[in-house]
Amino acid sequence: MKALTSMRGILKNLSKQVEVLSAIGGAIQDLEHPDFEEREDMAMNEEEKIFDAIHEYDPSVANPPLFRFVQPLMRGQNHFYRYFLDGSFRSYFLGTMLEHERETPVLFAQVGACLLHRKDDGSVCKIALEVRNILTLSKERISRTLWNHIENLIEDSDIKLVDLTEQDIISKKLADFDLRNKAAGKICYEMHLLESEMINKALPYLSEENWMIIDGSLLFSPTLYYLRGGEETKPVVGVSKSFRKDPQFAYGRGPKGERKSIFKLLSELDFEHRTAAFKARNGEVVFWYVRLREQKHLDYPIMGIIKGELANPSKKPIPSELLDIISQALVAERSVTPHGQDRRWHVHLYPIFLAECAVKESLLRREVVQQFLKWR
Amino acid sequence: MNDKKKKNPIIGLSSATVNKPNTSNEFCFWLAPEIIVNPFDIMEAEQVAEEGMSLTFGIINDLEHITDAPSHLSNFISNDFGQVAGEPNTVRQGTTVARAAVLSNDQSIYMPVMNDYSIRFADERGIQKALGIDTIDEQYRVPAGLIEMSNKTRAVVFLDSRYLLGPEGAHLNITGISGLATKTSYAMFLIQSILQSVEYKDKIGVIILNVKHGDLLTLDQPPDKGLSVKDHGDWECMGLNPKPFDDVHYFLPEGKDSSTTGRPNSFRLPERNWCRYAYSLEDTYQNLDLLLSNTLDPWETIGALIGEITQGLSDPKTGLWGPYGKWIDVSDWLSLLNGPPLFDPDKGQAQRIGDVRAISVARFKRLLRRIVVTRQSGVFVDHRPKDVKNLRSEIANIKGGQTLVVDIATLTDDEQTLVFGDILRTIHALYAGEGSDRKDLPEKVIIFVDELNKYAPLREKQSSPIIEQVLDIAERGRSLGVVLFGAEQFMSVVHQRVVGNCSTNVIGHSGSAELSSYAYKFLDPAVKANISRLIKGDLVISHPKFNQPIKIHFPYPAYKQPVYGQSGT
Repeated sequence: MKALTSMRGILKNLSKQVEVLSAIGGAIQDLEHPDFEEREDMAMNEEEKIFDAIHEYDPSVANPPLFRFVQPLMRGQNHFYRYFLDGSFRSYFLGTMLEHERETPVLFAQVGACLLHRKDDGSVCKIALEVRNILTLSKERISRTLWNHIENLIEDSDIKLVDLTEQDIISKKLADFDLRNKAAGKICYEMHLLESEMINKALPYLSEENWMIIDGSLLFSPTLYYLRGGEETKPVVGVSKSFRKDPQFAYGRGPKGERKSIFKLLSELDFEHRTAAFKARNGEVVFWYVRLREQKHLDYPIMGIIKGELANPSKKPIPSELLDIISQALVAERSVTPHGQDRRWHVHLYPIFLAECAVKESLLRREVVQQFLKWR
Repeated sequence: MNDKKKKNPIIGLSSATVNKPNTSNEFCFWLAPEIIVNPFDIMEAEQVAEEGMSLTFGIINDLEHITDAPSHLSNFISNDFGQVAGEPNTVRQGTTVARAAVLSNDQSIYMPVMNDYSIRFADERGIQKALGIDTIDEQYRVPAGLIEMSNKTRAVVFLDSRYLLGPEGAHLNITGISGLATKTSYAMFLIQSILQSVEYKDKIGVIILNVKHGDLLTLDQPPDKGLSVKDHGDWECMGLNPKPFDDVHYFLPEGKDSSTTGRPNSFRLPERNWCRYAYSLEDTYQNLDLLLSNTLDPWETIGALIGEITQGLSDPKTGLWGPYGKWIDVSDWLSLLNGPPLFDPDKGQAQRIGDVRAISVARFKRLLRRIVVTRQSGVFVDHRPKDVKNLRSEIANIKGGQTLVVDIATLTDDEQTLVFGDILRTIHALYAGEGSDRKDLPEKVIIFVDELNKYAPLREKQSSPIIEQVLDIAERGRSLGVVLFGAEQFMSVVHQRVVGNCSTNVIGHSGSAELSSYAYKFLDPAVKANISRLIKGDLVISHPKFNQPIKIHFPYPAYKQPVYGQSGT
């Protein structure tokens, strides 16, 4: 509430300085795009579209097979994943600020991240939860004087001022004519930034027996930066519920070699199987797909499949055995599901869902923000 | 304060939601994992106050476990589409939420309990504050049982004698199918508690009707094997001495062969202080209406005839027994039934009496003959021998500190009605008129009867002499000092005005069909469900001093009970 009080003061002050087209009835919540994760995946991998290098090795076979059976590894057998991290955000369009012939959308957002620990009995507890308040508008679209004035206004508050036109890995790809769309990417970037910081803080707790799952891709720059240090693979797996649908996969060489679209590859992926791991970013990251659920239970053949990612500091092929264990433990995470609460239930991992819920619960309610944030 | 917090940890936090807001009457709280509570546990919730904090006390009515699964299908799917073996990797988020009815606030603040306020088990002092016991003066406190909560906290429950014995309120009703002799055991425990705790205990007379076997014919004898250590402890915990009743007098009915054997018509003989009682016509002529209480009399012809008979058998000068005129030859039951003026032996037929036609007189004769001659237990005699007592006289002679036990277990229904009605009428007359100036008259008389529904059945329109008599006591006994302790299996079949006049209601285990009746409308649906799960010996008590019904537990009474009566916990 302290942030809202500060924010209201700032808005009141600004409305005296410049002309404002305020959102009718107060702040309007910007709804999240359901395919945002997929768009992010595209944004962060745009250079690579064809993946032809299987980046794992199995001493027992010359060429690792394209699909491998991964029997669920339950918590009772090996409590592999102990930590779960997810972030979430809520953003509000406050209005458009007009300064002479220039204008910029003004948005208020709260981004948060939560790290959960799973205890021996399967219950979870919160290790860390942080929420940041963000005011974002375009620096390019207003005068330097006004920008400086805003910086001064928020100096003593716990609100971060973000220039939404500043280039970053996510928002640069999500930019279009409307800056409001770009703002969504910017806020998402801030959320990932917070997640990255939390991952870095969590690394000392992790070990070969205590792995962490983070929601989404590891390709986000600050995250990958923390995970690619040293030679050893960090015990962190990135799990994406939705992913880009344009890559192609080349498997085998010579006349027996074949190229598969992701649809073809995943439609052939059987229940409780994983694909071979492919390398991305020259082997800095390996990724693969795991089918958690039987096709017969789902509406569409590529539902029930998640994408796993592992940072690979050494850039050497990853042992298939490790990928198998990671995948087996992932398959076991399919129970419990948030069925009925999230339409992505078939690929949602319940502890990640809980982390997301914890963040959302700690964000201010829409009604509160709407009624509080006004320009007068 | 820190010490208190250590001893009495927080077990949950209050919870108010959009759909289930807390109110002045009710609040909800979620429970920390591993915490076990049960319905009827009493909690204290932190509450706002002008200075510092106050405490709002609530009694748990209901518990529910909720999870984040929106449907059962979600749980089915979560278990790998119906796989019953195996444990999910992550435990689904869930919590148990308790719904508590507000009992009181220690600073009389009835704001709804705010969200996320601390909840603790109430301690012994807290329980007594919650129930308002701390506002009852010591002199009015009557121990009524113990509250035992899930965290093993125990507290004595006191009733306010002003609401149990008058003048503020009076009467007690015990209902339920709680188990063999539980209701009776509780009534005996409470009477013993009254006799030990109220200030004017020597000025209380007790009349107990024994309606089943020989249950109450050993009230003055200690249990054969003594009391268990726990029961003993419970008695002492309440400040009571576990002892049998003092100064008990037993009245046992005359049987068909009593005149030859000298043995009364009872299931067992008390060790001491007993005598037989019987009813001759002279003893009964003023109570013939009670004898025929169970007979339908829509046109009141029987009532009119009884009026004629009573008048004919009363001496016009004294109002006492003294047949005169055409009734001069009536001296006993047979002469009433077989001789004039009801019957003309020459014509061999019934005769008209006043406005009552002969055909109605004949019906009356048939009914009376069945009751006092053909199907009687032996309690009706032509002439009562000297050693056989007139119950009315004995009851009228009651003194403070005495317990009179009247055995009616072997009597027929009509005979039982007569005896009970006779007692009520005698006591009512004693306090409302003829004997009220007697110096040794007890200040209060407690009358206990089981199977109250027999004497005051639920009848919407038709009344009867016995119902009228019970209603008289129920409605006016409070001010007279006559207190009725009744018990029955089903409160729904007892006259509403009788139940309504009982300030204290005790309910044992009852079926859901019974609990759905109008008589239990004052109970929250969740409390009803809890009552249907009560175990033998546990009772729920509703008393004007308590804002909500509470569950109590009481020790085994300290008198000898038949082996089958191992009840009363």
